[in-house]
Amino acid sequence: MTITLAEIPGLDPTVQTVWKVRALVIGDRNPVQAALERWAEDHPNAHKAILKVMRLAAQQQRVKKEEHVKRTSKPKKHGDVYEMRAHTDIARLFFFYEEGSESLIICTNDYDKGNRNQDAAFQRCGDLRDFYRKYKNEKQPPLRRPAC
Amino acid sequence: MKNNHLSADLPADLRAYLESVPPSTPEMTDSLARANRAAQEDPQFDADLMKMVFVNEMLTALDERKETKSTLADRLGKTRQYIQKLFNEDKRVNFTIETLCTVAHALGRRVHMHVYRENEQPVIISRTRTPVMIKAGGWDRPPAMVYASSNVDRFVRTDLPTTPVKKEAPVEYSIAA
Repeated sequence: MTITLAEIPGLDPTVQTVWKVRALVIGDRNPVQAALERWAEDHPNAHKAILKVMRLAAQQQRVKKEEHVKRTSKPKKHGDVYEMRAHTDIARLFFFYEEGSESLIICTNDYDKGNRNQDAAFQRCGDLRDFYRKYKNEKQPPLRRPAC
Repeated sequence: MKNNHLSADLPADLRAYLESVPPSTPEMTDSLARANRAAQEDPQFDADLMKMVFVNEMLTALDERKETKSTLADRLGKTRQYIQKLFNEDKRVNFTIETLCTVAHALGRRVHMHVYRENEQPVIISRTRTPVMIKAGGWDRPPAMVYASSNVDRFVRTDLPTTPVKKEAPVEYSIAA
């Protein structure tokens, strides 16, 4: 099974000036792309709103307004995970910030407002982040200071 | 060859979730790319995004200066409700260029606008987290401004002359008698 980070199709790399936005792909499953496609087809306004927030998040160190980006209310339980919100519309996209050789926003999963399982969606984002980091560390062990 | 099957070491709930997602195909990727580009082509999209970016920058400035919207309203001679509406991107508030500049100046910020052709892109030189001012050499050159803030990449003006501009003597006209 491969775990990769995919670019968001149609999102210009030059507008991602502070953070590069990526979607987590596990095997051949890309939940973020599937959600964006569904919203583009069934909820065009929600799709547009999420794209705006994505572009905003990509060019700002942190997004201040909770109507656009909200951090989990249970960081001890879920870790440092966030959701992009189409404000009053249904679309929600979960992500975490990853600083390494590149500054990345890694989008993991989606959620439609009104499903009453927002907490579970935050939890899933945290689980996917942990799974990604575990895989990344196995593939690329962290550098250790050589013994003197 | 890539192994695209979900492996057994995935936790059961993640595996169930991922199995509920349809596998992505190149056709789906192309179709989403077209939909995403079409959405961003709308002028209203750009306008809304610019407002969002402006408000976020101003909220960052307020935090940095440890100011509140009320004190900003007092300094601008506006009501707190007006500032609240402005920061809520309320359609009833006119987001004019004058409004943007007034608020930005009041918070120690400057607004920079760059218009470019469809087939052009702004050139991003590098990223900085501290304000930078590069002084250009030459006796008659204005300093090259590097627009920088805590979270904006640097845009360097490229329209400045590369060699010092010599002052020309004023031309005198005389009318022959």
